[in-house]
Amino acid sequence: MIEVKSISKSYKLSRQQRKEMGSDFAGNSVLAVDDISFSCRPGRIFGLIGPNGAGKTSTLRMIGTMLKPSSGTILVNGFDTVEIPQSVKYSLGFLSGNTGLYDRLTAEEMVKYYADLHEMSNMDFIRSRDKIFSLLDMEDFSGRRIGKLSTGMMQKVNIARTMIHEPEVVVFDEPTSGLDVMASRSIIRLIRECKNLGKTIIFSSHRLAEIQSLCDDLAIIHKGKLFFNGTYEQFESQQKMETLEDEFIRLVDEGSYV
Amino acid sequence: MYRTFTIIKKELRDLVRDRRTMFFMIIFPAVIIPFLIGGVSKLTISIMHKEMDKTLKIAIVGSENDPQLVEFIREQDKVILINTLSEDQIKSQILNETIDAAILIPNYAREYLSKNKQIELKHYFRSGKGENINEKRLNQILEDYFSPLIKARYELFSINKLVFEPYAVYKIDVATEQEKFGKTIGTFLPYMFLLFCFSGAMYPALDLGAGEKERGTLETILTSPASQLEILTGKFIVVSFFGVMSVLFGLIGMLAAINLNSEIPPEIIKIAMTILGTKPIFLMLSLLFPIALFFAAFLLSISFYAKTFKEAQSIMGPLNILIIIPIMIGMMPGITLEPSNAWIPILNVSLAMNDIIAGTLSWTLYSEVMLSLLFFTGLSMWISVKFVSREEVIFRG
Repeated sequence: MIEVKSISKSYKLSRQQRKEMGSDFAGNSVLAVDDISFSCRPGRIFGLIGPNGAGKTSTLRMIGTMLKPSSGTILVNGFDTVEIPQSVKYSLGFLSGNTGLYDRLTAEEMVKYYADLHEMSNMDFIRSRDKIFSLLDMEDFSGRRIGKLSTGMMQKVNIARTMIHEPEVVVFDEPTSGLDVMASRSIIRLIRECKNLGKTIIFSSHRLAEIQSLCDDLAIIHKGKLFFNGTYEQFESQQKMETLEDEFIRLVDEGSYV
Repeated sequence: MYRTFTIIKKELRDLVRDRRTMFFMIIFPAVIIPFLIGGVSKLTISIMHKEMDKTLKIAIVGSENDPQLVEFIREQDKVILINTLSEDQIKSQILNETIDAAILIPNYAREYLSKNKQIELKHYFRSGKGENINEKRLNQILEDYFSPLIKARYELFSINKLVFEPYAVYKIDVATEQEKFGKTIGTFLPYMFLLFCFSGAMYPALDLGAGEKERGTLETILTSPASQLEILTGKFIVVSFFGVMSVLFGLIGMLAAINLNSEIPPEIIKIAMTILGTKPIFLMLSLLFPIALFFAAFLLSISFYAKTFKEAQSIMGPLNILIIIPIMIGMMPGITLEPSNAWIPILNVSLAMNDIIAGTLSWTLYSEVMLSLLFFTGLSMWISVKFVSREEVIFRG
């Protein structure tokens, strides 16, 4: 369960950044996330969509404890991300499109590293590793160095790394960006698998087709504010345009807050 | 603790597989530097020999004014005399390297010499880099020619040479051989050690900070249960380990170079081995560990601040000077370890190492250096942790 309660996030700007914002800009900081609230429930996929710079990554990083909200609170499985980030991290898996891997480690070493950081026992690690490696067909390349793997293989290693400690909450920040259809498919399969296992999933993407096919709940974010927050069915019932893409553009253009 | 150990284990495994880090940790200090030092000293010696063996082309203007001197020069080994030049031509001929030197004998030479007066010989040469071997060779020839004449004049006037030398000084240096060696060549060793330590730590620091950011691995490790302090502690230890290892490989390289260099006299090797013995090495390492941590904190802060590997490199390059200046000051003559400078990081290590090598280390000053190092290392690590914990540093850009 993820409960996001009235969070805001502002970033201080350097002199250079203030200059780049233009002469109309006043102030020392920029508000990336502006008083947003939503909750993600177990066994459901929560989709977060918005244009570039909308505040998606900031929101997800705050859920992932990498950033602290300027105001508001986030509870992950009942644990406050600021007060007890350590407990949050034990129950959280975080996968983003920017996530990198260590080229000089083998796939197995990489996954073991994250298992060790989560203080998994060797027995638990072997059990979880065998399950994930078999699910993702990773046995053949588990001993190869990551730098020598194809993009698709690397993505599988990344998934294994995210899921090795069997997290109850999984955050996917544009996980398919830059991937081909085959590599994207393994992510989509994983997200569905997580849902079947009753995990709490929050997922951000630019690919609206993915959102359409996966999400149970949806939030649209633009300029740090939530434009929509509800179930996918509710969204469809309010839809004025024919496709999700058109409706998304309409909402962003109108800037109407729901 | 377990997670810090996990991070150390992973970083070591990762870096040991990195050719660039291994090059700067092992190949550079253990092979390239001793090879370069050995090669340069051999090259210098061979150039000196070549210059000494070279046939000198000496022009003499006014040879008819002292045929005896001309004959003496002609009889010397590896000398060619040229008598056809005028004084006006000498300068240009030396500059275009047709001749190496020239002597102008004045027309009053025979008369003055016969009357026991002084003559003025003009010696033309071209100074260059390092030792002016050509000039020295010709000076020696003149000295050899005129010394019997000087002796003859003393005898002629029944003068005891010592009358003009009212005092003689016999120098007695009470410094031990180790001390003499330590204060001369020994100043060079701390320079090498500190530089090895810095350069050995630099690439791991680049890789573990800016490298992680660039690869996008920092974001993932931050979502793991490892705290920022655990992550940084692991990285500090690994970066300083590589700095220290780089020095150790440098030591091995130097030992090998000393043993393999047949031109070093055995007594020098004996002194060098005393310096590189257990106690001095242990003392030097006791200073190296905290300074390696100091370097690690300094380098990791820059590395984490930079957006990319390239940016970190471009910041670290000019900052090298901050390390080199105190080391250079430590090499200056007259600068010794004192209570006033025992608290200045890097400089104090450089000076304390000089004293360790020379065997003149004061334990009080050593303690001050250690305290200073522990203080500054702790401070720099604390600043580094605070600095790296800031969101705008981690997610800069």
